[in-house]
Amino acid sequence: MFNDALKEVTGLLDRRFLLNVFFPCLVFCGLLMGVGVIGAGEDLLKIAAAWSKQEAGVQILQVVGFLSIITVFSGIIDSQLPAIIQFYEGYSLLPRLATTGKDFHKKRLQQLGKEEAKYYGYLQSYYPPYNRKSDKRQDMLKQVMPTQFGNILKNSERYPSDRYGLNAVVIWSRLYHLFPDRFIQIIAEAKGSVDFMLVISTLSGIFALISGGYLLIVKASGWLFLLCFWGGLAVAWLAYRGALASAVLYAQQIKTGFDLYRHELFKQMHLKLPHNLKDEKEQWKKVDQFLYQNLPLLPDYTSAEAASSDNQKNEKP
Amino acid sequence: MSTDTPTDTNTDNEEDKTIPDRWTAKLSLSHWLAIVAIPVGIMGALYLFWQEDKTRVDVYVYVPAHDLPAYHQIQDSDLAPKRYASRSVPSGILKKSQRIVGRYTLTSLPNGKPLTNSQLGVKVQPNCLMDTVAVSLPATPAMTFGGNLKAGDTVSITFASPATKEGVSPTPTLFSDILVLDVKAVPQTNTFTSVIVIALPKTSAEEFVTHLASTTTLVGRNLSGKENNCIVKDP
Repeated sequence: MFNDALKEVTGLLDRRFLLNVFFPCLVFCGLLMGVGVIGAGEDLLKIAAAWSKQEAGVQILQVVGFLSIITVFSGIIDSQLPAIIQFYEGYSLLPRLATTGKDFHKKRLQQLGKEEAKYYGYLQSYYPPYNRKSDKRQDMLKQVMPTQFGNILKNSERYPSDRYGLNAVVIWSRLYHLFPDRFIQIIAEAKGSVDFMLVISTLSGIFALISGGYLLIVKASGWLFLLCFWGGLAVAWLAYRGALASAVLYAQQIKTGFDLYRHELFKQMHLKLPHNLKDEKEQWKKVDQFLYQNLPLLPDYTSAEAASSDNQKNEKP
Repeated sequence: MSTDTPTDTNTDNEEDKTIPDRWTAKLSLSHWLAIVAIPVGIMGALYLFWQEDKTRVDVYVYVPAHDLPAYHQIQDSDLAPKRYASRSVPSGILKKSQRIVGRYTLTSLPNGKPLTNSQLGVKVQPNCLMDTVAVSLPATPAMTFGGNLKAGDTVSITFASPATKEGVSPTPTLFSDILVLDVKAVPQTNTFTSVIVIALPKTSAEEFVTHLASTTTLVGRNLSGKENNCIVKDP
């Protein structure tokens, strides 16, 4: 959800595209070519020597062609980033795998919940809200995702609803337009870090599968196969672990955004600021009903001046 | 965490019943990935090793049986066969002993390492290097024919003494049919100096050294097309 909305923000930053997508794709394609040449029994050094003997014009054309292919491939990967993130969240897993992952994390969440005081900080960042003594604990467990990455992002998605009773899915796309530029930049950087790690993880996994399959077909060296297959998967797993740390930071920024700027949306919609948390939850419920279900919102709006003076009164202790 | 009201009826046992107690739930997806990837990797590698063994063709490559000094003419006894899988034979090496025996080394060579063309000089008759010593001469560009002199060439070396006070020029001393073993460019501080290494008959060594110190050295090459009898041409 947040990722779709933020994609257009990060998409504007070419530097981020180069670092997060283009260079990983360049390395990925280069490694695949190298494996292709070695697997076919060719001498990489001889091919490099033969290439260097070509005319400069031909070399330039080949380099430009190669970079063009990489750019197109990078564009495809970049456009598929939301799908990649959803995959790592566990949305597009096979049902059997999804069930297995969910069961594992539900068990783990319950076990950690028994020692809540000890693992409080961890639970606050790595799992959706859970209270083992609540009547709604079954509903809470239904929020658990099959992967750790998914649970971290689910935590940030559930936070606004849990704290303020607002529907994050509906509100986020409106709220982020009200963030200051500096804050958008911080969130974009946090998301860029997540994207970078997940792109590396995805490409490494694809590399392991493609190169492994190819080396088996051409009956290449067993050691080369192990290096490519296990090496690719190991890098994919390490990058995924790296993405978890980045995702925690990203999720914290999202939660911070709701904490600090949610009232800006009331002001922007010319609605009165609530007096307390109970009023606020009620008001968010009405806003949600209006935006999502087209139900009547409030009897009247505050004018810009009235809203300003009312808000000032509300801010006085 | 949630702010829902705690209830007193819950127990840990009740909570545990909410999740099916499947053994698969004890492992995360990362564990499952490892469980699948490790056997697949092992099976794939075993298959490839088996294929490699099944299609393996051994190749014997002749390598030095012991360390060889520079400018040593290689004999049969200097070589030993070494087994390689055909796909792992290094490229550019000399495999057959026929292409090695009779040639001389251009540098010292360790035992067991395959030989390449660039490490060996031309093939020469066995008796040609007998009773010779390798002698190196500092060379000017004129002596190396501007860089055209190479290992395997046959040259004549002339020592010309300066004229006496009476204006009489001493007869030059000529050493003919001298085999050039190597021509090296030796790096100096800012430039390169050439060195010609020749195979000099031991009987001529004393006379050669006597002239070398005090005379002008000229290197000549026969242009008549006459071949040196020492050099063995490959069929």
